[in-house]
Formats: sequence, C-alpha cells, structure tokens
Amino acid sequence: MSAETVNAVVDYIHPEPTDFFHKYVWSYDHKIVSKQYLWTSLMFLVLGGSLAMLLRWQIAYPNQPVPVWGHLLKGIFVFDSTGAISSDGYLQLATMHGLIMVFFVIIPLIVGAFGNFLIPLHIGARDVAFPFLNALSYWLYLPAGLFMLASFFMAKGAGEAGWTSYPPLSDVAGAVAPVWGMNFVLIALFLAGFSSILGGLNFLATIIRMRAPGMTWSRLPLTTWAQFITAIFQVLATPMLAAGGAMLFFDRVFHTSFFLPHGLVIGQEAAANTGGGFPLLFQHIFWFYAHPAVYILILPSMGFASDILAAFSRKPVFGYRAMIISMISIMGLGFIVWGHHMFVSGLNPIMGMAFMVSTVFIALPSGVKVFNWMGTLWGGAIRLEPPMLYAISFVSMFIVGGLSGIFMAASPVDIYIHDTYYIIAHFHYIVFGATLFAVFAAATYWFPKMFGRQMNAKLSYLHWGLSFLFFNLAFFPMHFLGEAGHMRRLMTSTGYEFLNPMAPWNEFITLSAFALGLSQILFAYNFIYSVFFGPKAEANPWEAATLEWTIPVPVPHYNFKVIPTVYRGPHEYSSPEAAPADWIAQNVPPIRGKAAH
Amino acid sequence: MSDASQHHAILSPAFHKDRRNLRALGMWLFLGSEVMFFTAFFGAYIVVRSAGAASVAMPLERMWGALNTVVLITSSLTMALAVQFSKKGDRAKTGRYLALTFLLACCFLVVKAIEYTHHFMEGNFPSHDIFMGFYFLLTGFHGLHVLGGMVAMGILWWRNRRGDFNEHYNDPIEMAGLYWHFVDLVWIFLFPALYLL
Amino acid sequence: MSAPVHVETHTEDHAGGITYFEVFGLLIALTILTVTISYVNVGEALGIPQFGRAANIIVGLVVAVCKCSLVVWVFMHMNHETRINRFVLGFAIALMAIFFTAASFDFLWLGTYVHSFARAALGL
Repeated sequence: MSAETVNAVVDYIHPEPTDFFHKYVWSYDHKIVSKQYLWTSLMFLVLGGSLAMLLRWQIAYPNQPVPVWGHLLKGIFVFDSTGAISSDGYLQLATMHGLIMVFFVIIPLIVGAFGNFLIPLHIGARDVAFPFLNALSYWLYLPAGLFMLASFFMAKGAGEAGWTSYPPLSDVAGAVAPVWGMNFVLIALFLAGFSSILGGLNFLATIIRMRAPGMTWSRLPLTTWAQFITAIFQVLATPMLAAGGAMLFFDRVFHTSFFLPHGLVIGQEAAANTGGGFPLLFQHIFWFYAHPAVYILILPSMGFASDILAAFSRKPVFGYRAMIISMISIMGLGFIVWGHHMFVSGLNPIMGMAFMVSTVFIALPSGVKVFNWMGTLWGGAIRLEPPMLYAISFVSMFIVGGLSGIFMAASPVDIYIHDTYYIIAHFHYIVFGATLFAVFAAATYWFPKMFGRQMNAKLSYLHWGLSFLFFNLAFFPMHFLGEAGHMRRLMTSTGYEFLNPMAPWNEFITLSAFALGLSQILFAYNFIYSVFFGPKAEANPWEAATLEWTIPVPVPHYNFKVIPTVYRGPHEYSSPEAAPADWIAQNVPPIRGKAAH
Repeated sequence: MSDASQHHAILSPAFHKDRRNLRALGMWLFLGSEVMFFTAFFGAYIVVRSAGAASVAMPLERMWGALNTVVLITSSLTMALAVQFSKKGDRAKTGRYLALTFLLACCFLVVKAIEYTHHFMEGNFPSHDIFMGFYFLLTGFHGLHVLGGMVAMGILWWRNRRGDFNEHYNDPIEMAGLYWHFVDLVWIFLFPALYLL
Repeated sequence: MSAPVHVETHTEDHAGGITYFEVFGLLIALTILTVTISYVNVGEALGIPQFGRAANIIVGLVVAVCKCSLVVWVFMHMNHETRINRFVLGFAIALMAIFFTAASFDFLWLGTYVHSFARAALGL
C-alpha cells in the first residue's frame, strides 16, 4: 500500500534532535520520555519499599530502635530520639508509602513508562499524538515527586492522614498535624494529577486517530486496549482528585470549612474553622477518583499479561472479544462503585446497597478475564521464559486478590473487615502480586526492545522464585490477621489485649517482608547491569507477532521506516496461515490462498 | 520519507485537516476533564446547599455578576468571530477580534477584582462562612482559567501578527476558541448558582 | 496528490442556519430573563407556595442549560463535530450527573431517619 493512503499525520515525524538537552532532557521522542518515567519511578519504588520496611519493623518490634537507620537518623524524619519510629513518624510512613507507591511508582511505571513506549509501536505510529504534551507530562511528574520528597523535610514532617487524606485529620493544619508537609503533598498530587490527565488524553488521541492502515480496533494488542481504557479513567477521574485536593488545600491555607463540620473539637479546643462542611463530602470526591485509580493500577498489567501469555503459549488469547468487552464493562462500572470504600463512613444505607450491587457486578468481567487467561494457557505449547513465569503468577495472585475483594463488596462483611489487615492483604495482592509482577513480566519481555540487550534469565528465575515465595509468606497471613480484627495503620498492637496472640504473626510477616525486599536487589542488579553490559539482543527474541517486534533494535527515531499495513490480529500463533512456522507477524501480507481475519 | 515528500506532506491540506481533527479530539478530551474538575466543586456546593448548611443571604451584588455574564458572552462572540476570520485567512480581522476578546477578559477580571475588594473590606473572607468559601473557590478557579485563556490569547495574537496563521493552518486559534467557550460555559452555570438561586 | 483537495472552511458566520450574532442576542436575552426572574419568588407567583424558591432553582437551571446548549452547539461547532467528540462531552456530563445524584443522597435527608423510608419501601 502506498504512503498516500496513510493518514498524513501518522506519517509525520518530528526531526531527530542533535543536542543533549533535546535528546535526553526535553525530548519529544516517546521512547526517551518512557525511559525518563522508567528510571524515576524505579527510584521511587526503592524509596516506597524502604518506607514499608520501616513500617514493618515498628509493627513487629514495637518501639525498638531501628538498626542502622535509627542510629544514623536519631531524632529526625520519622525517628524519635531513641532511634525508634515515633508515633507521628509511623503515620507519615504509612501515608507516604501509600502515596508514593500509587502515584509515583505504579502509575508512572505502567502508564508513563510502558504505555508511552508501547502504544505508538503497537499501533504502527511514529510517535504519540502530542509529543509536546508528552514531554510536559514527565516534567510535571518529576517536580511533583520532588514536592513529595520535600514534604519529609518540613517541620512536623510529611502528610500523616493516610494515603486517603481524610478530613478532619488532614484538614487541621498546625494543631496536631504537619502544616507544610501536608500542603506539599497536596501540591504534589495536583501536579501529578495534571501530568496524568495530559498523558491520558495524549494516549486516547493517539489510539483513536493514529493507528496504521488495517489496524482496526479488533486487531489491537490487548496491551493497547488496556491502555486505552486506563486513559479514559485517567482523563475523567483524575480531575476529581485535583478538585478535592484543592478544596482540602483551601481548608488548610485559607481556613474555609468545606470538610469541617460545626462544633468540631480538636484536643479539647474548638477548631479554628467556622464549620458548615462535611467530612463525608471529601470521601465522595476522593473515592470518585480513587476507585477508577485502582483500575488504572490494574488494567495495563492485565494487558501486559494477556499479550505475554499468548506469546509464550503460542496461542491466541482465549476470547479476545470477551476480553475487550470485559475491559469496557470495567470502565463503565468502575465509575459507579466508589461508595464501597465508604460503607462504614456513615453513607446513606440505600446508597450502600446500590454500591454493593454494582461492586459485585464488577467482579464479573474480572472473572471472565481470569478464565480467558487460563483458557489461553490450556493446551498451549508453553515456553517457560521469565516473562511467562511472572505472567502466570500474575494470574494466580490476581485470583487471590480478586476473591478477597468479593468479600469486601458485601457491605455486611465489610463492616467487619474494613480498615483491618484483610483490606491490606487484598490490595497488596492486587498491586504487588498482580500489577508489580506483571511489571516484572513486561520489563523482562520488552527489555530487548527497549535497550537492545537481554536480561540474565537465571537471575530472573531466581528473583521470581524468591519474590513469589516471600510475597505470599508476607501477605497471605494478613488475611487471617484481618479476620481476627487486627486494625490497619496501627502503630503498636501491644496496647490491645485481643491482638497479643497475633504478635508472632506480625514478626513472621515482617521477616518475610524483609526477605522480599532483599530479593528485589536481584532484579535491580539484573536490570541495571543488563542495560549496560547485557548480551546484545536480536530484533525479535521471543518470536512474537505484534508490530513492535518487526523493527530493528535499537529502535530508530522514526520507529517504522514505512508505516506498516496490518492484515491480521495480534496473536497469530499456531495459525494455519503461518504453517510450517508457528507464528506470523501482523504486517506480513496474506499468504496466497490462506485465510486471514 | 525523503525531505521533499515530507515537506509536501506537511503542507498538504489533508495533513492540516487530519492534524486539526487530532487536535480537536485532544481539546475535547481536555474539556471533558475540565467538566469533571468543576463537577467536584459544583457537586460539593449542591450538597452543602441542599443540606441547608449554606444560607444564601444574598451577599452578592447581582448586577456585577450580570455585567460579567454579558462581558463573557460578548467575549465568546468575539472569539467565535476571530476563529471564523482566521479560517478565511483574514489576518487583520483575526488580530482585531483576538485583541477584543483579550480586552473583554481583562474587563471580567477587573470586575471580579472590584467584587473581591468589596468582600475583603467587609470582612467576607473565604473563612467567613461556607458560602463565601464556595464563592471564592468557584470564582477563584474560574478566574484562573480566564487568566490562562488570556495568556493563550496573547500568544496567539502575537503569532497571528507574526503571520503564522493562514486559511489552512489555524488550529491553535480554533482550539483556544473551544477552551474559551468552555470558560464561558462554566460561568453560565456559576452565575445563577452563586448569584441568583 | 496532484489534484487540490477541498478544504472545509466556515466561510459563513452561521453554523447550522443561525448566525453568531443571533445566538449572541439570544444569550443576552436569556441572561436578562434569568436575572429578572431571580427577583421573583416563582413558587408563590405560580400559586404553589410550598415550592417557593425551589421553583426558582428549576427555572434558573433550565435557562442555564439552554444557554449552555446554544454555546456548545453553535459557538463550539458541535453540530459539525465527529461522533467521538460528542461522545466525550456526553460521557463527562453523564458522569457529572451520576456524581451529583449519588453525593446528594447522603445530604438531602440529613436529620431524617432514612431507614424508615427504606423499610417502608421494602414493605417491612
């Protein structure tokens, strides 16, 4: 097909930059922006993980000085004068661990890094729709991250109202809580939110309008479909977070009372604000964003897993259309389930019932996806490469996390397990067990394309084994703790008689968590070493059929020399058309006499 | 692609049309996100009013608000005309109407400044009561959006003067026009919500 | 691409049969209308005093929606836009409606005992 039939905008490529600044700092090349996101979010991952290690120390060994760090940082940051975690410090750790992991690790990794790198390559385009906005998105995210880090250095420390920042605790500046620490957190969230919105609309415009000829909606890799649905959530839900954060900021700085009721008393003193607002209002605004946010956290990983499972089972994804319909259903339902985070907050019981029904319904499309993943594996010619191992364990841990979620969907059950370790177990199985393992899968799978080298397979297998083992040892017992009534965000369980029997479990979990943290060193070493010294990779080491594998490594500035024409779906493995080979790429013209779809 | 054919592609009307449609999609998505942004504020205002927590003792001067409404509607008209003339390639008229829109936006902000000063002199700060909190929140963020629009218009006026736009390439003006109309839309709801109802 | 391609230019100042100036006039007229009505207690004027100023809210919102539709349809050329762009705005408005409704449920009946309604509705 001649270039004349290609959408003229798709074929255009901005000129290749020559100077260091435009090559690596303010870059219009989606591949470079994706690597900026990648390195920054990996550094935040180390920070967020370290915060969690400190948390776990305090839970297992209450009020004991933290080894090494406690001694070095006595009296500053989250440590008290003996080197143990202070009570304010504990809340700060819990808050910042959550905020950093959600906004500065997972979303930038799966959307900013992998989304940016893969979307244009998957659809056969030369770059995203708005390269300027792409660069801007990264340079909003980085300052946002710096504000988060800076909040630790403020008097009285960083935010400490939980990652959910509920008022009145997050609202009352000065009296008991940090002032500028929390304000910096709000500024950081505003900037990061803006970055997310611009990135989301960039990806939406790219996927809708810049697909190569023949790349119909039903021939898109599932990674791209997942990024599409995620981008819809990003564009339409994130502004609510910005607005809620702005109102909280106004409450704190201008002493309005959007979320503070009349007659509020703090520490035996009447609050300074005039009242008239409702704390529950913040929860509505916040969770209207934050529930779609958790779908932002999982959907791209589902996309990665689908494509990787297909490639290493040498089979198309089972029920490709059902996968798309379930993602669209998650998108539609995802906007009307936010109240299930508020079952015990004083929500109108009628709304509680409505949200319970919609939440139970949203489990269905996820279940469909799980069965389809298993159907993809069933009868496949399995190749147990590292990406495949991570992807399979993604499915199993997603099942565990998803099942615990169903219990929470039922409000009578949630009344009991809300704000316990059961919830913590649920979301860590999803965000760590599922999403982060899918990130490991995506990292090892697309590493050859991103860096032109291969990661060490033995180290990957070892990392997988240790991570899988210690992750489950650390987080599975939390289900039992939660059922027994162990509350979350609790600094010392020794103050409660009924929690004493669980202290050994807390210690066990902490030790497993430390082992889990240490195991990540394997991945870090493997990743960083291989970027510089790994064996050079070929263009398509996995024999995969999607478009990104048809171009050479390192990927040239213009991606595709000629915009490809697409003739078939993304998972044409073991297709009769391909025989005797067991796969055929999307852009290979139909072989005479054989069917394509 | 060779340099010559890429150059040809850039200049072709098909390229401009495709790029305009791409940018229009981007702008509508952005406006969708802005709808959601103001949804939170309006939603909060609605629930606080319906709970009876904010008694509106009409502390706002309706005439200032009505004046601002007329100013913004007029600026919407001048912006639409600016877009229309840019599509005809009429540089002079485009510049004139862009400047008019900018001036009307200035008027809006001046009126708002007068109102804010009156409030502060009477001690009606955002912390005074929940209604004033919402008033400053809603009009404050709206005002920031007006300011952003003014910056965009200034840049476009300067670019138009420099001769960047013609009857084929005028997307930035059209996109700014969409944004400006949206800012007007928000005020169309803000005005009755705060001043009249 | 040798033959010149026809480029869409909005050479007339109307979009769909109505000029910008006519729309402007309508918008100003609606503004005058809504400000005037706000001085009147619509509920009492219509003879349904128990509504009172609540009727004002309904009238005011209807007028605002009319003005909004004029701006979106004519000034923003929604009548010429693609289906996708219309869907984007429509979806955002639908989400707005969902949020207003659900959030209101928690505050409309403050001070009442909602359970009694629910029980009555369920026939208990």
